Amino acid sequence: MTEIDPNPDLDTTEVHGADIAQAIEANTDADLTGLSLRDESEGVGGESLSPFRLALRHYRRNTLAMIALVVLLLIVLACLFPSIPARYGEAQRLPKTGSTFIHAPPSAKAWFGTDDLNRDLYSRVFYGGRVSIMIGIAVAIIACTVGTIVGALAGYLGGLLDDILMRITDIFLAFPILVSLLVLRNVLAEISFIKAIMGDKTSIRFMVLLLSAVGWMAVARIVRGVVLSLKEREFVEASRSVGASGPRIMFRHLIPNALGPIMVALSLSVVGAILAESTLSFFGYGPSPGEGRTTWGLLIAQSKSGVLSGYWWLVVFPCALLVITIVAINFVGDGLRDAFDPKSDMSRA
Amino acid sequence: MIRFVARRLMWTIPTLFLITFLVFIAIRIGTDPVQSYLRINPRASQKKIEQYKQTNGLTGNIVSQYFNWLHHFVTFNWGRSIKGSRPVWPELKAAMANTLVLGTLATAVGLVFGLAIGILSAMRPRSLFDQTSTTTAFVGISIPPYVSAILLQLFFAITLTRWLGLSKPLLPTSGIYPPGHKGFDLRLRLKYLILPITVVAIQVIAVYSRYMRASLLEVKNSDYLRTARAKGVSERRILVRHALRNALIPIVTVAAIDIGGIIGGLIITERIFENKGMGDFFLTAYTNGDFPQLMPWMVFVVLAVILANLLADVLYAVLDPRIRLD
Repeated sequence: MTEIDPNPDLDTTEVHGADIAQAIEANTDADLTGLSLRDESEGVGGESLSPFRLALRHYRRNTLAMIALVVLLLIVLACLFPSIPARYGEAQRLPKTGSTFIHAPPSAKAWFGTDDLNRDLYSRVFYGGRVSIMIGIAVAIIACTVGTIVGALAGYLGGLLDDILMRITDIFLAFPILVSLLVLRNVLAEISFIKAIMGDKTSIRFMVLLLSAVGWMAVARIVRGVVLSLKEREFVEASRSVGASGPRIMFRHLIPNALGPIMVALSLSVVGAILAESTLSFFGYGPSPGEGRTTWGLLIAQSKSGVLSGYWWLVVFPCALLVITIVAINFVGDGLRDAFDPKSDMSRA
Repeated sequence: MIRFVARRLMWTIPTLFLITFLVFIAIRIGTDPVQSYLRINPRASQKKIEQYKQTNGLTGNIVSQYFNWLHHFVTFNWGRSIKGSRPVWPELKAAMANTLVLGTLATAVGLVFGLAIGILSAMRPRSLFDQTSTTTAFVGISIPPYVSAILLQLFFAITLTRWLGLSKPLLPTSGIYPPGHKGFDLRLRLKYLILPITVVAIQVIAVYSRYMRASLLEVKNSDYLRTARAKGVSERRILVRHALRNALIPIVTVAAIDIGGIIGGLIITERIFENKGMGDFFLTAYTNGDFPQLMPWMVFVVLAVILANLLADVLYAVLDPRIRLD
């Protein structure tokens, strides 16, 4: 569930101030687009590091965050190309292993044991991860794009748009997110023109769009807060006074300065989407099972019936991989927040 | 203060109207009440269907249907569930009582442990205890409630029983009472509550230990603590009278607003442990498309959230003398 903010001490309205905006102004867009690809060595010893190289250097010093990043990359790579780590096919049934036809405990033949159709759980965990992680990434991209645009417009223009945004998000945030998702799921599936876009209730596309439809709100509120506090700052005023247009101020000053919080929101969105998908799947409201549509939530949901029969491997392995992934993303997000926050060294002492 | 509360309570009424209207529309669009009635009762006669439509006010256009529903709701004419045709209110009442017990106990347990851990962490930042608890809290936040619930269920129902060679599980893993039990039995009730409480409390502890730590650290760097220390106030008194009091202000308000999150955790926990509460009530009603059950449930959740927000504002003003409500 996503109601819980893993970074409660995160001050999302934290911004870097005019000096950074000027640095961005001087460094042109190359720094914005290539922020994570740049080699740190370029900047070492240089007197003017761009804020993103500075953040990168900050991040690299954070051991825990670096370990989390490596673990996360390994999991993501293994899941995006599941045929490499997997030993059997996603739906491949193993021949009789040992004394049982189905529900074989972990062994050399099936490292994580087998399920009720004698499929190898070790392989299925990676196939499940592929869909779960792709849903997480897709939702995060959609939610952050929409959320950033809406939040920045609402914060910058204020007025009616801002009021509407705040009221809509207020209503949705009043309900537990699981309730919002379930109710919205039915509504979206019944309206015919939306159904044409989103597809069937049990498709992966529907799940991605459903989670995005709820997920953008948190991002929009974060960006709105940052923009509200930024737009009165001197450097924005200065820019306005020399005749910069609204869109220019928005895209050159406001949004780049909000990139730190947006990136943290991005990591939170991935976590939120993976958890929400797995929760919905757990209760049977996720994508329908089938080859290429296995998710971690589905694997855990299918293990439910095995708990009281003692098939522990069905529960433990998918849960472990899910939790390790979430922990890793949260640590990366935490590291990002520290890296983008110039005050972080003091405030976290 | 009283005027503020009265004014806010008055505002609650239009807010409730608006939100229930939106929820009504959403549910009416999402789950056609007549169709779900037919799905549950496939052999219902035409007369029964008409009767169902009449008693639930499902006639006319959607706006007049809302006012029909509102009329029935306010006059306490709540109808019957579409599955089994049981009256809605007694079940909802029982569900609310169960959820209140579980939710209050779990939140209390979680807050006590969470705040204590947060305070100890903030007192010695970067100590071994601080680093362990901060990391553990981080992992705790990352564990979705259904994962901890199902793992605990597995551990207590199967693993521990096997290890210890017991004839029956150490702790019951589902239900409120053993099957066939009648009446009230405190010891049994608590025993059945331990695992659900643990699941909800893990989340609360993880979140609030971090909040508390951050809040206390911020207060510790404040000028008034430096002043107090300069005046020669003892460290103990500084912590209790000055630091904790101020650090708790944001926590209290966050806790009051967080009720939506706690209800969300409860829905999942109740379903897995078959604890017949509000969450279980909602999921069953949702699955059946049970219109007569869903709407009252929504009203109570909205009401709870609105009142919790009001409580947060009032507490904020009571605790923080800098804030005036009028």
